[in-house]
Parts: sequence; C-alpha cells; structure tokens
Amino acid sequence: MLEAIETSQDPTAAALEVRGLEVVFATDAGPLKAADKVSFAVPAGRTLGLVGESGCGKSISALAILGLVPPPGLIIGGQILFNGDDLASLPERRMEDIRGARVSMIFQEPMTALNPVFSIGSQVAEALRIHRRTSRPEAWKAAVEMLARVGIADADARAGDYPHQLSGGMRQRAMIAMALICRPEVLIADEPTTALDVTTQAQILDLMMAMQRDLGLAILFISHDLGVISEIADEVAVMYAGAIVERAPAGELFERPLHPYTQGLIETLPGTGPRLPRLPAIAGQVPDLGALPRGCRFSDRCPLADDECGASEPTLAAAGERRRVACWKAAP
Amino acid sequence: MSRFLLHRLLQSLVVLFLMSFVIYWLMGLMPGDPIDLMISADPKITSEDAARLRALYGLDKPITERYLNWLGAAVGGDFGFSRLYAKPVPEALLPALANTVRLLGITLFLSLLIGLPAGMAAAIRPYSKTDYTINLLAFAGISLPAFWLALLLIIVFSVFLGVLPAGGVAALGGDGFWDQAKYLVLPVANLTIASVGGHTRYMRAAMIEALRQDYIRTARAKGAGPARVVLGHALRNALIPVVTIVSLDFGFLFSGALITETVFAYPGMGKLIFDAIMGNDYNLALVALLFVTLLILIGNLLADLAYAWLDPRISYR
Repeated sequence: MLEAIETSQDPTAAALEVRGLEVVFATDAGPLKAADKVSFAVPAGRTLGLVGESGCGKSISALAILGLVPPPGLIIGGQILFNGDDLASLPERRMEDIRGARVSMIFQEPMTALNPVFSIGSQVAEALRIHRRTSRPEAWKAAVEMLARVGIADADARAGDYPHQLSGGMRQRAMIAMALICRPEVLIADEPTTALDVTTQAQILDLMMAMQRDLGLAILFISHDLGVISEIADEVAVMYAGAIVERAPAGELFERPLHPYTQGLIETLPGTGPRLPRLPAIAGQVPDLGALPRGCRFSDRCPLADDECGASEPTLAAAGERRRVACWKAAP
Repeated sequence: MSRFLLHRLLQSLVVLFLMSFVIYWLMGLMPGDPIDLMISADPKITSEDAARLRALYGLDKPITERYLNWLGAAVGGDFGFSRLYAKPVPEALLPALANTVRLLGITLFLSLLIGLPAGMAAAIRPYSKTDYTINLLAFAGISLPAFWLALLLIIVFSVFLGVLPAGGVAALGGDGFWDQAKYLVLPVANLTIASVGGHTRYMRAAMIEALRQDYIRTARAKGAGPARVVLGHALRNALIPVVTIVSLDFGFLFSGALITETVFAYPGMGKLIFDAIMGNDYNLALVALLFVTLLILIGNLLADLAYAWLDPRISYR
C-alpha cells in the first residue's frame, strides 16, 4: 500500500523521495524481503536519520537508491523520485550520470572503500573527470581544493598520499571530498562514523553539517547508533526487519517514542542519569527475514503484543501532526 | 630503493654460490663419470689408460677439491669445455639459450595476451555462459598432456596437411624470417595451449576477488562506468597476485620445456640440459643449471619490483 509522504516541509520540496520501495533477495531458501514498502523523503538542506539494527535493511534501501543493490538482490517495487525521475526504473547509463554527480554516497569503512592503489587526490579528481570531463591538471587542482575544504591540512602534499598513509578520520574526510566535489544535491551516508573513534566521529559529524549548510545538501544518514542520529538528524525513520516502523521529527522521537521497538532502542542508550546495574536490552533477537512472525513483525519481541498483533500487520499510520507509526498499541 | 636492489643482488650472489656447490655435489653423486662413457664407447681402453685420464681431468680428487678448482676457474671466466659438443661451454650454451628465449618468450607473450583478457571476461560475469565457455577451454588446455598434443599437432599439420615442418629450427639455407618463423608455429602453439589455461584461471580468480571489494562499490557510487570500474579500479589490484604466478613461470619457462623441445627436436635449454646430464657432460650441465637458477632469481627480483610499482603499500628501503 502506498501512502502519502509527510515531511516537516512542503512535500514537493523533497530532494529525494522513496515510495513503497521493495527489495528482494532470491536465495535458495526462497525470496527474502530486505526492504518492505519503505517510504521516506529527504528535503533539501535537511537530514533524515535511518536507524535500525544490523541487517534490518537500511543499507540495502540506501544502495537501492543508487541502483547498487548487490546481486541476487532486486528492486521489485516502489519508486525512487529524484528531480522528476524515478531512479528505480532509470537505465544504467543514466544512473551513471546521477551517481557521484547529483546523488553521492559515503561508506562505513573508508579503508576498504578507497582503492588502495591510487592516491586520494586522484580518487577525488576522478569524480570530476567522469562527470565534468575536466582535464587532468584542473581536476587535480579542484581535488586539492576540495581536500583542503574538508579539513585536510597541507592538502597539496596529502593529495599524493595513498589511503594506507592516512588516519581513519582523514580517510573519511577524503571520502566526503570525493562525494561532494561534483556538488551533489543528495548525500547518502551509510554508517560514516561507525568505524571511527568518538572524537573523530564528532569532527566528521561537524564537517557533514557544515557541508550541508554550504551546499544545501539533503542527507540520508544511516546508523545503528541513536546517539549519532540524535546529533545530526532533523527527522528519524526507525527500521525493523525490512520495514519502517516509526517516523518522526528527531526531537519528538527521542522525547516520546511511540513504537515499542523505538522505546526499547532509546531505553538501551546509556544515559547520563543514575547508573543502572545493567543496561536494559530488547529481549530476543532480530527475526530471520525468511521467518517473520505472523502479523506485526515485532510481535514476538514486543512487551505489549497480544492476539491482535499476531493476527494482522499494522501499517504506517498517522499519529499526530508530523508523526507516523506502525503499531496497534501505540497511543498517539 | 637502491639499497634494496643492492641487498637483493648480494643475496642472489650467495644463492648462486650455494647452488653451484649443491649442483656440483649432486652431479658427483651420479653413477659413472665421463671416463666410464669413454670406456663403453671404446672397449680397447685399459684400466691404466682410464686411471691416467681420471688423473689428467682431476676426477680422482675428492669432490670439494674438484669443486674449488672449478670455482676458481669459473670466477676467472673459464667455464670449461663441453665434451658433448666439443666446444667451450658458453659457445655450446648460447645458441640453445637463444632458441629457448625465442620459443618461450613468444609463448609467454601470447599466453598472457590471450589469458589475461579471457580471465577478465570470465570474471566480469561469473557463472555466466561466457564464464563457463572460457573455463571449459581453460581446463581443456590445462588437462591436455603436452606430449600428446604435440604429436597430434604434428600428425595434423605436418603429416596430413603438410603445411608446417614437424621439427627443427630452420631448413638449410633458410635464413628469411618466414623460413624460420614456420618452425616456431607448432612448438609455440603447443606450449601456449598448455600455459594459457593457467593464466586465464589465475586472472579470473584475482579479478573476481578484486571486483568483490568495497572500493569497487565506491567507484560505481561515484558514477564510473563498467569499463572504468574493471580496467581502472579492479585490474591493477588483480594484477598483484597474477604477477607472482607469472614471475614463477618465468624461471620455469626458461629452464626449457623439455617434452615439447624433445618432440619437436627443438634445440633449446631443456633439451640441452637433458642431453648434458645423460652424457655426463659435467661442465655444460653445471653451467646450464646455474643459468636457470640465475633466471629464476632474476624473475623473482622483477616480481618484487613489479609489486612496488603496482601496489603503493609495498615500499622497499
């Protein structure tokens, strides 16, 4: 079922809008739905945080936007609206023109995400060479400028360095420079700070927010870390076992989570309050996508679940002015 | 870098020196000596004659003493005389070496020229029809016994069709390029078919591994097309393991392809070493085997230099 998109702004202002996205992996045990009717929108200049545990389908949804779902994964439904085009049905050649130029992506592990045999300068310059057909020296000059802009000191010399010669934070800065050198409208960040230490994490988040202000970027920020999400996101979508279960402006979500899963996630955050003997945890584990419980997909772990929850699946329904939640028990 | 080179050259010298002793010693262990062969060729030689000849050639001395004598002469540039060819050793060795360089150089070039693109084509779509076809051909090449294929090639192209010579390097008076080139066709085809399958398989494996890496996803995410992804980003990484294999092949190839050279009566290094050992031609066998050792050392050195060129994570100080 498709549903209307609600964002904190006029929905037509969305830089990127995903509607009812369905991604399926054909496996020997049958098809697995990694993304089940996923819908969200990211307005220009704003950040949508996509939160969930490992394997909940958040990375796959992000890769689907760029048409990079690894085989045997396949987009079987939904639309990805960007600038009047549906990216889900665009031919590969036209996707190549969009990737890295208008919609860019950065990844979790900048060590493996950068090619070890090329200097970071040439890897940043390559994006320009592909999309703008810039000459080699000019692209290099622009790459050095971009590296300086993302906070790499002595960029002139560093541009000639290879990925293994840089620290983790510097590598992620280089990734950001590579993603932004063509001035894209949308940046997809897949766990960009997860592999970094806390201090570096904060610096990278600051950098991303600064670049967002400068370029008016729409950012889709994927993380399993609610702490990071609370710092950067304007709106948050919570994903569980392939589906979005709650969507809300960040402040409201952290203040008053509606879905029992979101509530569980927020409770597990180590707070600043009195020290608990043990951190609370959500009972059970993420279900196998091939063996989801009947009805609500969270029902087997939910403290509030009853017969109704096991009978039919709740859809993402309006709960208040700017919020949506997929739960039979959530009191608006 | 120059320190590394110097270090490696010194290392190579030590290895060569040790190998020369090992080879000398192993040859000393072989039953019989050149004099025994003379006796079997001429039954009129008396045992006094034989003893006199042994003393003359120094064959009655202990092996270490003989080795040191040889080494002293070799360092001075005197590699002795080949009894089989009745020439000084270098004069007997060089034509065979030239023949092998020509035969195996062309083979290696062709095998890489066909094998690397074929491996890449197979790796781009693993388990596709293209991949299965290429794999089938590669395994066929690997599995065909070289001696059988050589005989088959001779039967078809020399006996039935009569278009190519069955063996040798040149006809008498045939000095033109084509006169000589046609003698290379069958041996080169035979060796290429035997080695191209391996190169294809190595390239395929390395390429599949490279295409699985995260940086490939990054390259695609920045808009690189298929050609740029494969040739620009994956190939250079995939070549690193392939260089190892090729450099190991290098030494192996130049030790000669004994079977192919024998079937096609091609006077190369493989046949020379075989004949020298069978004929108790100590001097020739020793120098030829040492030469192969040297080529293997050079191959490894070239591989190390190629690594440093391909992979910036490797640097030599």
